[in-house]
Amino acid sequence: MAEDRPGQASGTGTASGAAGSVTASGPGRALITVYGIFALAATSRAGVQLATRYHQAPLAYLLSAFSGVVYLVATVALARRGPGWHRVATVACTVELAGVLLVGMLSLVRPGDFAHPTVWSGFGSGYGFVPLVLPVIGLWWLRRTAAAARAEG
Amino acid sequence: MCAVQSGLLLAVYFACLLLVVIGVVAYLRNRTTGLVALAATAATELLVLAQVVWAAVKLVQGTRPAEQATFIGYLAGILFVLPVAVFWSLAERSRWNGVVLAVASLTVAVMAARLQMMWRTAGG
Repeated sequence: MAEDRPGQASGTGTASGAAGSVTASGPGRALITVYGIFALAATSRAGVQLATRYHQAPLAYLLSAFSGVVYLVATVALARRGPGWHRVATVACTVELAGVLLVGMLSLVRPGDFAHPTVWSGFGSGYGFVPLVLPVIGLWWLRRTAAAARAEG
Repeated sequence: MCAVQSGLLLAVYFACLLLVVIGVVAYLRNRTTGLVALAATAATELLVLAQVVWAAVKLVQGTRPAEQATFIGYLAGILFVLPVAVFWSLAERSRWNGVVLAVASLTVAVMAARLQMMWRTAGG
């Protein structure tokens, strides 16, 4: 509870890494937990798919790998402090939102190409639609912390 | 089907449910999670570990689940979720710790359910 801190100047809390990151504190801490889990889930799923049966559905499996990388970048960028990482996180979340919308739509329009599911197929229906909601919450959170992140720089 | 494994899984589900409740209650009471949550998390992790060891022994003995690579991936991954979540929540001393705990334990429960499904389809 940062508000409870005594009013004296504790101003030099400039620890590097996640320690002082505004995007990684409070609700951000929980958000990054979800992002981390999806980074793990998507990359390992893609790893297994690409290693064992790449030729069955190259498009779907490469998309799986791509979504994994996007989640990974978002996780790291959200955990880091400063305006640079804030921008990286915003780009990652935007790509993520575009990806889940595009792949979600394509998987409905051209189900033949998406017989092998990815995290984003059916707007993330295989994962309780969390992939659809997550980037929206992520972008909202980044918007809320934008000013504070600029001050971190 | 292996009765012992089912019993262990049931214990894992129950422990995860308890952790979710602890996390949500901490969040609602605007408290950071404390020693009780830490002890409950450690106990859950032990159950998970027992489950993983059990499944690993079964694998070595020759039972083959559906999608073996994925199964092994889940076995390895499920071990790390709670420890990493605890480590991740150490720096945060607010009500949001409880949400981190709830999310992580929900994930463990889902992963355990996936493991169980893969095991069932093997019919081993």
